[in-house]
Amino acid sequence: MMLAKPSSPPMGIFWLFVLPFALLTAVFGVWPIVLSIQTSFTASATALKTNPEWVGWLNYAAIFADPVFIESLWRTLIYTALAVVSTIGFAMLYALLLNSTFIGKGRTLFKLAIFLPVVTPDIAGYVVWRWLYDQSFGAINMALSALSLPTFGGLANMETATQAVLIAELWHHAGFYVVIFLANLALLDKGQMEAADIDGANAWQKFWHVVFPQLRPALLVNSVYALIQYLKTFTVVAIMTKGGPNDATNFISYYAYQLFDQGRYGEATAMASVLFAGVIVLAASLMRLQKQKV
Amino acid sequence: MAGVELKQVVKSYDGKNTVIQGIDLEIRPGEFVVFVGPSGCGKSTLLRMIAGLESISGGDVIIDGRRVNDEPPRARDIAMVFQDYALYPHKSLYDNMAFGLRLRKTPEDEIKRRVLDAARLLRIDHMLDRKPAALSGGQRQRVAIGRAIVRKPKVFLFDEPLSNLDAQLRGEMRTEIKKLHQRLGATIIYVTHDQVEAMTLADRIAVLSAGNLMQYATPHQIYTQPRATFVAGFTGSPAMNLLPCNVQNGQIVLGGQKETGRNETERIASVGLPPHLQNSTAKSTHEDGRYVFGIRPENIHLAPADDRSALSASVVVAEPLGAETLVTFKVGACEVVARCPANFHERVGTAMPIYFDQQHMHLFDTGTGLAIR
Repeated sequence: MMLAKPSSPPMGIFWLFVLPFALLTAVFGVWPIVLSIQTSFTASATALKTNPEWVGWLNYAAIFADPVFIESLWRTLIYTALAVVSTIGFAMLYALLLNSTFIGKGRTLFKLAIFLPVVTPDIAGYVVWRWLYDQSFGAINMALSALSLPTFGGLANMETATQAVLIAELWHHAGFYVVIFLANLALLDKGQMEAADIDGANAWQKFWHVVFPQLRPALLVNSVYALIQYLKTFTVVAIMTKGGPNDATNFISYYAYQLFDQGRYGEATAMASVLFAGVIVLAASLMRLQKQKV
Repeated sequence: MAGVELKQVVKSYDGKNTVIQGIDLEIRPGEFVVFVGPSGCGKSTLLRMIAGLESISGGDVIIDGRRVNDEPPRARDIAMVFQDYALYPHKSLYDNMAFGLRLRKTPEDEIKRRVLDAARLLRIDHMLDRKPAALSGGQRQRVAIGRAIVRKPKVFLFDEPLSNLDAQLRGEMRTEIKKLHQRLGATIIYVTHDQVEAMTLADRIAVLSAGNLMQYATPHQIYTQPRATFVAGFTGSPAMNLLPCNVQNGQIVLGGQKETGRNETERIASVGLPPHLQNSTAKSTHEDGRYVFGIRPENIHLAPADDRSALSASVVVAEPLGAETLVTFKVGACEVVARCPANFHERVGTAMPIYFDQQHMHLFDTGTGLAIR
């Protein structure tokens, strides 16, 4: 008996479905990046004209000669490192708590508490945080005073502004990372925990030797995503600090935006391109590192 | 090597749903005991209570003379082999087996010696640097067994370890486990729903049903002297024929119908009450004489054509198995399965005389299901 050959769907159908999204991605995703990179090689005065003046690497030379940019770059890198570590650490602990039997029926409340900020608009959240940190009538310092504890400098103090911004960002984003960790935890075999119990492991040994090594997929996805997110930190600064006090929270994205505002398009897009390249290189290295270890 | 004792062990959830109903059991040091029963009978729960993975609602679990009710699994010095292996996927086979010893701070050279010994015994010594994902089901189960062996625990617990394997591999691993027990002489408690596994492996079998211990005896006793219809129906493949019957005037009338008239007699088959059951039925309180009659397929034989005392039967279906043929006969209003020689070639509907081996007839109480002895 002859078996009928399974017919593959015609390519026309494939393109029909793929093309609209490919076009959307090209027009709204890739094209602006290309334009931005192109702009970074033009003189700011003519950057938005039809025939811009090409200046080669001049804008790049200018920004790397700008001490504010170099400071801002370092600030961004340090902030990113701090934020990635604290967000991932916090999200993992929170997910472990949600996954454990400790919290019992409070689980839904804890899930809601961590995930609601993710779906809250950034602006609304950060405006509330700005008010919470307010030195005169903010709830945080009122509470600290009521408990006779030293007050928190919040956004007004150079020393504490970065921490204040980080806390607000962590509050806003952590829920997303918790969900990824929870998904990873749900995939773990409960039998392995019992096997570890029988093998003689205590709670810490079970986490360190059995759970943690198997959280690698979530750790990778979350690290890459957090890295990208924190390197680009912008909204929280624009709403809460405007880069201050005294440039303490002036991260690259915000500094580039300031230059853009001043019509220094060439330098602004050069900074954006440097940031873009940095994000790509770091994310790709992390992915590669992970692949090698598996 | 240590003994295990269960004293009136109870497990209930929320104080209402009782799944283990007060079980008493004693397992001698070095003994291989199998908990067998259908799904949901509580056999795995009971094993997990011994392991410390389930809390104990009532009674005592005693391992090596020590009450361990409130001790965590790691303090009980037991090792367990799980149905789905529960190997650590990120560790090599060596590290999987060494993990328990490392947690107990065993010196590394001692760990190496024990792991290599166990690996050689289980024939996995050539793949110790591999991860579990690179192994077949049978190899993974060997690693799981190896992980238990290296610990040299007081008691080994096996929770349906072969049910994820295919039929051939299951047979091979069964033999391996039996050999292992003979070699190590360890105390093993093994849970399975497969009565063949239970019969072939066990020194003693505990048959469980709905959280109750139905019988605890050697495989031979379980098979030849089942204490209840549940045990009789659960062991043997095919299981014991169980038919409603009436005992009247020294006769067992199969089908449970009383003789009501001349026209009915054709449908009635009866056999003589064997001597070993005469006393007990006489003492029985069952005035209406109703019982459940039991006979194993191998105790039903083909009779010579001229045997007047034989039962008249007709062939309903014949299932050749190669070495033998299982034949379902209609006897009166009942059907029984008999184990016949491989050369049985009679056609469906053929009338032929058969007889039941008197020595191996069983009667059970209709209400309680317990054997009449």
